[in-house]
Amino acid sequence: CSRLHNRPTISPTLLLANMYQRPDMPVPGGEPDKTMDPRKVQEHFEDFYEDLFEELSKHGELRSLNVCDNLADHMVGNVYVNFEEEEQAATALRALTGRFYAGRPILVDFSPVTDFREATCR
Amino acid sequence: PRHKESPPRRRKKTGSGWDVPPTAEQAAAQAAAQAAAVMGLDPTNPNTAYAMAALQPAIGFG
Repeated sequence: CSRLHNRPTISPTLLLANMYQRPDMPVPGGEPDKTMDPRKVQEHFEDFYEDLFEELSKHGELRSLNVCDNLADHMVGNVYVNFEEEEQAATALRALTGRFYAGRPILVDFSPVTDFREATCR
Repeated sequence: PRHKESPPRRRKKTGSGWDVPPTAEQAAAQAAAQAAAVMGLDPTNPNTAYAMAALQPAIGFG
C-alpha cells in the first residue's frame, strides 16, 4: 500500500486518526504490558467506545463505529465512523475539528471507506 | 434453570475524555511532532509525537 489514499471532499464516513490508545501499550507499536489486568483493558476500551458513541450520536444516526487494533503504526487506534447521511458526517467533522480527547488533538477527515467488509488496501 | 437470567448491568463509566486538555508531557510531545514534521516525518500521525518525545533527550529537543 502506498498510503496515498483518496481523500474525498464529502463522505458519510469519518476517520479519526490514531485516536484510541490502549492502556497496556503506552508506546504505540511497542510491546504490550502483560501485567495489566485484561478486564481493565476491556473496561477502558468500553468506556472509550461509549464516550465516542454518545458524542458522535449527537450529529446523526451511526451505521457503524469501528476502532482499529492493528499493529501497524499508521492504523493503530484509528476510528472509522459511518453516518447514515453525508451531511451528518460533515456536521460532526466541523464539530470535532480543533477539539481534544484525553489530551490529544483530534485529527479528523472524511474517509472513502463506506463498506468495512471491502476496506482493504490493494 | 427455568428462570431467565437478567443481563449484566452496565457499570458506570469512569469519566469522559472529551475536551481534556493536554498535560505538559503531552503538549511537549505534540510540539515535538511539529518538529518531526519539519524533519520530514509524517506530521499527520500523532504517534510520531510520542516517538519524538522518546528521542528528545538523545537529539536535544526541548
